[in-house]
Amino acid sequence: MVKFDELKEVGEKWAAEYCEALNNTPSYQEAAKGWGVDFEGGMVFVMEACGEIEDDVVSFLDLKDGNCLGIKVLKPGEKPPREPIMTLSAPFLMWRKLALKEVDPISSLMQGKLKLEGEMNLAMRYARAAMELANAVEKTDTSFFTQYDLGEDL
Amino acid sequence: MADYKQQIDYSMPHQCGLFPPPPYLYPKMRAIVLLFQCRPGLKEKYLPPELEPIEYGFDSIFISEYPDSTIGPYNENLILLNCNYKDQQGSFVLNIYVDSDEALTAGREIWGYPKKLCDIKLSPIEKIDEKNIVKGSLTRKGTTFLEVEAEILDNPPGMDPKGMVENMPLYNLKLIPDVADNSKYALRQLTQTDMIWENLIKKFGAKTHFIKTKYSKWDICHKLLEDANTLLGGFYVECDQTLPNGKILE
Repeated sequence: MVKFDELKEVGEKWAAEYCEALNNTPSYQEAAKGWGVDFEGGMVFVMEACGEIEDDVVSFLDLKDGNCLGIKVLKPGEKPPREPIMTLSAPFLMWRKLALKEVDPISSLMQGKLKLEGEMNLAMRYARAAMELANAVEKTDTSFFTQYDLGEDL
Repeated sequence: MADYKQQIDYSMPHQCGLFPPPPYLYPKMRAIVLLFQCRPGLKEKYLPPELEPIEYGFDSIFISEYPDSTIGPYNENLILLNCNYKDQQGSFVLNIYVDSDEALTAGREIWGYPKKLCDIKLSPIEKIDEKNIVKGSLTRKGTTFLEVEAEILDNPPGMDPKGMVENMPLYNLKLIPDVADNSKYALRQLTQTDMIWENLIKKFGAKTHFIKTKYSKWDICHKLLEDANTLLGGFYVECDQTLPNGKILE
């Protein structure tokens, strides 16, 4: 089984790459313009334990006006630096499918495989930004998602 | 149902009222809502200039069954386009189909909704090949121009349906032609109405199997859904719905 301590380093490396990818993706920057400007822009991603992953991997994304100001991978039980406006949760296997573009994010939401909690009005208003968030994952080293046995299909 | 006096005092034409004033109540309604995304650039052709299209947004097809309502039982279909009005996102009502004359006239006269009569079918949830399936279809003037089929899942969608619907006000353009001059409108109002959903006794995610359209010179679905992304899924609900008065935006 893989515990958080073993995931921390590779998770932080991936988070830094992902943040850089967002800042180098004009389509994300355009779609997310205005995000977090007059409201809290922080989001939490929860990659839920599955397969050989024993602990959830929770990250706080500091997003503002189309830019990623940083991503902090939280230790188990650690609270995010600020109360996030939205939380996106799914099993680790689902994140892998999103990263490899094997599934559509909106379809995954409607099927309940991906869960979004928080401000619905903003979620729908920035739906394209959300898709660009998902698309930017392919610009990272996706081995973070593929190097583990994540178990059976969802 | 309100009494006849109330109807004729309220509705148009004055001596031939068909419906009472809002709010309209729809207890124990059920609906399948399937999302789609129009081909980029298409929506602006259908929206009034005050509304800005949200590309890659949540355009949707509602098919509802109202076993009872303020104006009696009927079925309904809405075709909605996700858009912004001054940074407030909502859904522009492109088309509504209903299968009762009370629903048709009340919708057109009060809210100015673009309603047409149509044969609307919404199947119960049926077990087919171990899956829970709902089918819907719209037939008008002899053409079945819209057919949908979706698998109803055991779990709720990952976004709250009540939150989705109640954060998406319905925008509509109410136009009444001028009786004396057909180059003018006697009335032009951009309106907003906020649906209320309560007592959601069922809310399940839905996986779209298909949304099929067929060309009909009377209806817009085929053109609207050409090259659209129609496999985004949606949700199925059973709840109590209220349609209140709208408000005038412009």
